[in-house]
Amino acid sequence: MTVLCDIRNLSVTYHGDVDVKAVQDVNLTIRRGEIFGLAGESGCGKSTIVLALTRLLDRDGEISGGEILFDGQDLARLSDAGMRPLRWSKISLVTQSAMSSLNPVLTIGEQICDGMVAHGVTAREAWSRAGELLRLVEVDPGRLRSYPHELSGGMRQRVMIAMALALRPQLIVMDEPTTALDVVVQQQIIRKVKELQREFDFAVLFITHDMSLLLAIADRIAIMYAGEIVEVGVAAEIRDAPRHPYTKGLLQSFPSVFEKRELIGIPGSPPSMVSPPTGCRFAPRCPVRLDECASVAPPTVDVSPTHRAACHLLGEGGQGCV
Amino acid sequence: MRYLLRRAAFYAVALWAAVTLNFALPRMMPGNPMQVLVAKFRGRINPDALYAYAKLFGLDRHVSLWAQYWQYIGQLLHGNLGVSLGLYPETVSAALMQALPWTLFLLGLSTLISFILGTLLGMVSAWRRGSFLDAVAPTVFTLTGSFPYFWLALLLLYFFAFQLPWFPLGHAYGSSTSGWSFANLPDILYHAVLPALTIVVTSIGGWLLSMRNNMINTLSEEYVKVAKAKGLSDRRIMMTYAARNAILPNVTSFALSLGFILSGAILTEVVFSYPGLGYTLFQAVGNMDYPMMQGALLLIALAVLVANFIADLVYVKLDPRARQG
Amino acid sequence: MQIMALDPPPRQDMGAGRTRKKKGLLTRAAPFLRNRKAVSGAVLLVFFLFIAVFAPLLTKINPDSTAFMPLQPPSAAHPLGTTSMGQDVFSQFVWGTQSSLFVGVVAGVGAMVLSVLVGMLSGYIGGVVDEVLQLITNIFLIIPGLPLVIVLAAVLPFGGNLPMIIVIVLTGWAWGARVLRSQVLTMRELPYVESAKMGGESAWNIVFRELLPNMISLIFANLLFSILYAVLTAAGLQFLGLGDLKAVNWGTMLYWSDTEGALLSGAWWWFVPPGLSIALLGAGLSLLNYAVDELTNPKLRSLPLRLRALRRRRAS
Repeated sequence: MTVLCDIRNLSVTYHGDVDVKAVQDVNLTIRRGEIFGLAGESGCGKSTIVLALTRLLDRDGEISGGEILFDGQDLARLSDAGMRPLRWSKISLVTQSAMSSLNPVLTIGEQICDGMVAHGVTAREAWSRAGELLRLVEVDPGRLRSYPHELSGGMRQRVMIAMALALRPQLIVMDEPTTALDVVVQQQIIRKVKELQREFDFAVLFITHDMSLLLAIADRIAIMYAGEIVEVGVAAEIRDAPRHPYTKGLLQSFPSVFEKRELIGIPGSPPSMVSPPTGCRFAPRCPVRLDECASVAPPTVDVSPTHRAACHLLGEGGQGCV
Repeated sequence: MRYLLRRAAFYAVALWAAVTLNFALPRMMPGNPMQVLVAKFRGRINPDALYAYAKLFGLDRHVSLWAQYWQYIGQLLHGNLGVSLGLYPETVSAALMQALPWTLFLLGLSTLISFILGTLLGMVSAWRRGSFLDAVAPTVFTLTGSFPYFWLALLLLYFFAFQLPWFPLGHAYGSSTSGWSFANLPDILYHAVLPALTIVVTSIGGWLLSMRNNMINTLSEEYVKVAKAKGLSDRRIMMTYAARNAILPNVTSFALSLGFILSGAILTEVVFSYPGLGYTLFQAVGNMDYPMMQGALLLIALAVLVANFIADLVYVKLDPRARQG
Repeated sequence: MQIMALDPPPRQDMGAGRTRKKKGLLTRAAPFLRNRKAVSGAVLLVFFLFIAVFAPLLTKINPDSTAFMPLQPPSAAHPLGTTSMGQDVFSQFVWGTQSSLFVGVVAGVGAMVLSVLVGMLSGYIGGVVDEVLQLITNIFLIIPGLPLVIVLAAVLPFGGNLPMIIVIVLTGWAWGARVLRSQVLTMRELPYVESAKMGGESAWNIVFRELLPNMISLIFANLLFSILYAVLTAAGLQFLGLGDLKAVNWGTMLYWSDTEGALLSGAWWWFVPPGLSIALLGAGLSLLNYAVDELTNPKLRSLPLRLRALRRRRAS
């Protein structure tokens, strides 16, 4: 599989009364046609990565370093005008709450179509394609004339997915797409996404704080903590052999469908991003920390060709926290 | 539809309250209202006029308050507002019907201008946060919004009608023209400039500020972010996504604002001797013309209720959620 | 202990360090003092309060005395000239400030108290009480205030300040009541209110001990608004000649200057001071109100200077 999007040393800073570096030197590659999962607690910076990648950072947010190579172009350096042709046609977005992601005063049809029209599709063509798109996500095309408040939560999220597919983008970013839905609807949506992904072969960047969901859908997974990536690997490796104590903690903090085990959380809470700890940022909460963790930032170590993690326990042939 | 019915029911109750209050007003005068009136006018008034007033409010007959009340409502339903004490034998409704178009014209024109201008300025200020416009417009118009209407009217009159005789000193039309006709329109507009300017300058800040605040809120909505992700033009994002939603609370707050603007318009009419409802009311106060005062109050209340119902219709047109809820 | 998988969904990635803490009065006043609008508003307000409080020290001339040459422009003896009846305008202005501020503050506080009572009880108790109070509030909101006040003023025996204050309070409370009610509705669901309810505290205690202290900024904004309304309405009524015409205040000063033709004789020193004072006091109250808005809703705040510089850099 070839690389679609290569994020290199990405840093994002929010300017305010104090500057906050919400994302610090992040490296990620998303390959064509894969579902790439990104997990972490609230406030770890995963949504900031989404905003940087889609160039939707608020006015107080700034990409302060690194590059985002997408299909040969560095998105981090594109002007707004240069970014516009890529929006929706190459990268589209499904956000957390479909309720607030749809404009309440426009019909579903108008909202699916205006994205297409903005990229040169004629209005008539857009309308007929919008009907097909709804059929793809199993929503009655008659709904094109409905307003968002007339649809159920699950239907709205399907509409969002249909909308994101409109211009056959190469990458769909899904930021907590199922968080607001109940478990049954969640499962239906996930199944639909996988099915559509097989059919149209787009890549997905799937953001969630729900590890069990991620393990069920993602090909590869990255774990984020306090603005940094602490571990990346194929989903099975992350599930069966996590090498970072934080990943291990995350995995133990949700109920497994397959085995009966004790639920264990991670004591403490993430550090303030205003003044993150020196050394390993997870050290203050880490159950297996070493002396050097507090002062020296751990290097990223390749555990296998597809798996790397940043932990001092992996240094000099160590096996990590297995 | 249910939404409109509910609103209509509310306006009916409000109108009933206004009518009842009006019925109660002469009874708030200390002592017997008839004796008070007779004493006040000391023969300066046609007894027939006084009698008509007493009859309308049932002050002449020794029937129960309840019967008087129903009699009053019956009279109102027939459009009978009594006879003017100051302009006897002219009826109150005839005098008010002459004044009403002027107020509707002046107030309608200036409210429309100030709503559109204020909303547009608020929209652009919010869209261009931190720009020169955003730094200046909200503060400047907040300040002009706290100007007392009548004083601004006096200043405009002093500078632009007295010192610089660019505009007339008052009235709605010149001596050569009289009343409404298409040919008179330039003259009528010419006379309306200063009073309208007074109302626009003092009321624009409210629309601007609330639109700016609403717009800042909608700009942080997810759907605006999605619109941007879709690659829509800035113009479409600003108009159809942000402003289209931000304007909704402004339409709902129309009721509140109209009351304030109307109060200002009354004072403005007085300063410019503009022959609308406010000026009529003011003159009625000077003449102790109670039937005229009360008729004007009732008509103003009715006009405000109708204007609000129109605002509701616009709201339903703009917000699909109101259509079924 | 925190179970991450059950975290509420993140809304923003900067959650850390944003929790609200109780702070001392001084640290809480600091952003207020740094806000330019707040400071200029406060300065204007204090200026007029100063004049009102120290009126007897500022002028020794009786404002009613007609002992001077009429229609004199400002001079050393009469810093703001004289009226057509030979009164000293400066003395009228000083005493008028006291009288106008008195009516404004008393009526404003009265309207505020009434809106707090109605709004909070209506929002907290709910049910039929709420429906009825809401209906009354909405009717008072929609029936235009000034015409009603004018007619009331004409019908009621209208001498002195008290009837005017009563009328202004009666017509000025509804807006605040509505705002406070909706705030109470959202606060009623907060955990600490729930727990107070569970703990068997009386409704009265919850409303005035638990809710009220957390709504101070809203109530303060409401008070500013009420005072502005009261000052403007009182001045408007007096300007129309509906107050006590023998009293000295900003409104009657304008009434007399208008009826005596000060405008046409160019006696600006007569009609400018009272009108400008109303405008400046109004501006001060609006600026303070605006500042409270900005301080309680960070979204409305103007950009930090650094960020503005950054954006300029990026643009160039």
